[in-house]
Amino acid sequence: MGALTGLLMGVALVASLPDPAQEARARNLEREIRCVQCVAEPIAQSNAPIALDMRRILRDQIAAGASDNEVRAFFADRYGEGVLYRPRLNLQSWALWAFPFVLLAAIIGFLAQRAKARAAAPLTVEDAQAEAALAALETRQE
Amino acid sequence: MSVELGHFAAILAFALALAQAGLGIFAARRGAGAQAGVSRLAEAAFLLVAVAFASLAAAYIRSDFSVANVAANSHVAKPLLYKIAGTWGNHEGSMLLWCLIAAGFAACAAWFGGSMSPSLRARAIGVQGAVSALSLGYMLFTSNPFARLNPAPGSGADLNPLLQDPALAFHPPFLYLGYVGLSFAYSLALAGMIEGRTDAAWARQMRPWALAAWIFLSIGIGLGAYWAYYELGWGGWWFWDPVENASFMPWLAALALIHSASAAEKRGALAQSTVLLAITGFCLSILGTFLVRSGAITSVHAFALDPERGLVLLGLMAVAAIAGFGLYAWRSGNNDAPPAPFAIVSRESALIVNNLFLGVAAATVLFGTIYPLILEAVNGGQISVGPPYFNATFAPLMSMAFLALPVAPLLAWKRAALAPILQQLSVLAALCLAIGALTLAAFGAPIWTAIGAGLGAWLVLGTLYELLQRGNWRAGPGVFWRRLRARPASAWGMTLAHIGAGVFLLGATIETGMRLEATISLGIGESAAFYGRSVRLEAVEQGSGPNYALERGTVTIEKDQRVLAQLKPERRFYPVAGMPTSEVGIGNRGFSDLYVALGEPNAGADGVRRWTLRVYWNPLIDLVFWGVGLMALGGLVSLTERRLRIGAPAGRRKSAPASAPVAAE
Repeated sequence: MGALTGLLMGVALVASLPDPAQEARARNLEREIRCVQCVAEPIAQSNAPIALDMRRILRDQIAAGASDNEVRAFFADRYGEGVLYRPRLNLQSWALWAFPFVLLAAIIGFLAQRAKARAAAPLTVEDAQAEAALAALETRQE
Repeated sequence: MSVELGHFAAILAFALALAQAGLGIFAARRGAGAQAGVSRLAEAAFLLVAVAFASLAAAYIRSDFSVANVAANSHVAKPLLYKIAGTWGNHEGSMLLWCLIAAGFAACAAWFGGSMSPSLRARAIGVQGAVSALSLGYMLFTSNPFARLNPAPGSGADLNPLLQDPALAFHPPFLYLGYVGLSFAYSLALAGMIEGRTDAAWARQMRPWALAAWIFLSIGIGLGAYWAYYELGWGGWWFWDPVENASFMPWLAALALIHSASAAEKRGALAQSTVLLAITGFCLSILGTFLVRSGAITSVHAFALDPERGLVLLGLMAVAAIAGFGLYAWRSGNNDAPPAPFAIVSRESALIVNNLFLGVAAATVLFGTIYPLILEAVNGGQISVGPPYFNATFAPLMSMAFLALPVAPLLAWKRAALAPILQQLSVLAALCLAIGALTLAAFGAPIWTAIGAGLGAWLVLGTLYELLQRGNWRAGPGVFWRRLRARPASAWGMTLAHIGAGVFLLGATIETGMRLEATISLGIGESAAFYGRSVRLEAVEQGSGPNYALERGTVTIEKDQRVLAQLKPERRFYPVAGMPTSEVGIGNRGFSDLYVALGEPNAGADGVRRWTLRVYWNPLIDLVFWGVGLMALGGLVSLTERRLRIGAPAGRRKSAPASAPVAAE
């Protein structure tokens, strides 16, 4: 394991990068970038000619020393933000990224509030009934 | 049987469903006569929709191309199974299936709902009648599957070839059984609110129906994932595609619903959230159908698109939501069952935590799925929300829920002590940390894969520990055996389902994080190395199936001169639809797969014809499907619970303590 896909006689459609760490990064990025010609597929999954080209360009970028974010920016500049399956944090997408955390915090806040209110009024219904019965008994005795 | 008869039956069923709704909702307290009348109406409506469905299915089997729907979606040369599956493999036919199941659930309530109080049953069947009437009305007025063509074409346009597959033939019916099953949970929730009694007895009625819907959804989604795995040729089984998300959201809601209902049934707690989840679940079902059918969101799986009819579906969802949440806002204060108190550390609280994470996870999936739509409507911005987003948000949310999961069944109801339980589980937690660390160090897995593996082990081992604990295993095998035999079916179901969740998580994270893949191009007789193995294309033969032409490769995968697998991936071409599909070759080794998809041939620069092959090593992939299967099985086992089938005499039990003070006076 760990050895790269060396080729004996076959021809790889997109040549793997010689550095395994770089190739692993390339494979991850391939799944994050949308094939611009397809309905809804990342370039990793598509056999469309443009997807092959994009996979090649992606590897060229990584080989030239670009970071993951630089590669993302490269594709977003050319094809628009819609090419990225992982929307970059910006004015368009902050609500998307904030949503789960805000919702979680809001619900936890609500539950904590309710628990506190319940703790402040420890009287359960049974307690209330018991107390009412006791009070009624006392009134009758008087 | 002509489709005109079916059309007539559907119209008649529409009228009966309206009567069923009116009588059920407004006359449920008018005595046994009215209540029995509602049941008879439900049975009759179901039979009529069944006649309508049978007439369309018969037209498909006969290949009656004078029916527009058959002409558009079938072909004489198609195998019988896919002719029948064609009935629901299109928009109009699938709506008829939806109506059949909606009416079927009402009829089932009439036949098997004897444990409900008569007025609750009549009201639930009544609300279900309204659901049926809306569905039938939608079908008859916008999506009539019975329309004729004149002149009739001599041949049909064929069913989408991707759908001509055994798993996918049964995928839509299961999914619809789940979606529409949630409609009955919705009906029960509304009926309970109208009655003003969403108490423990009501929750006991809710649980089996919600459970059944959840089981059907699990099987449907599992079949879909399995189909995507072996048919689409990408080596994956889940793509966070909008259409997949559409079925996943109701599944999450149904999962929260069954947990919530169990607390409501056993303790009278969480009744409000049970009601809300039942309403939400059904609304998400309709929304899912809208997303799939309307083409509002681009998806690779969108098979039948029509924006206008989609909008009507959105309107129907609005009606269901307004009726449900409106009734909740109006009646929730009217509930005569007081909420049962519980401490912050208790099983009830653990179930609230479960609902919290499942709910936020479902909301996140929903928001991520429709966010591109919202953004485009707001400022025309174009973004794509794909797997990286869902993995980054959904996975941590569920991880927190999974972290808490093994603790929850060990907590006592009402008031529990957390410290001793955490102490008991500490050895197990250390073991799972070690498993995660081992995955990281020995196999070089990514960090989140290691976390997933540790969590998966935590779920499986933690659930087994609970089983040992319940059986009081320290007291010896005799006691253990007796205790386990006395363990109720619903508890066994929980154990199985929780183990299934762990098994699924192990498979899903290890497969996703440690999958090996390569795209190579081979001529006949050529071979290439694949991570220490060699892949050789032996031969490619041409052939034909019943309604397609095919090219079948023979691929041998060897390691150290030893044959690991000989696979026969196929490429098919369906001339009528003009579409290619693939049948991948899978070599199973333990729980892992060697997986090869055959691509298109190209003539290389040297003039040799070479085929593109996608080769994958998918470690522990089978655990994904075993896990889903175990979860569904757990649901089924839980459904056999005697208490659910017979139903406790709720009315009498309730009245007993109420009469006590009277006697005391």
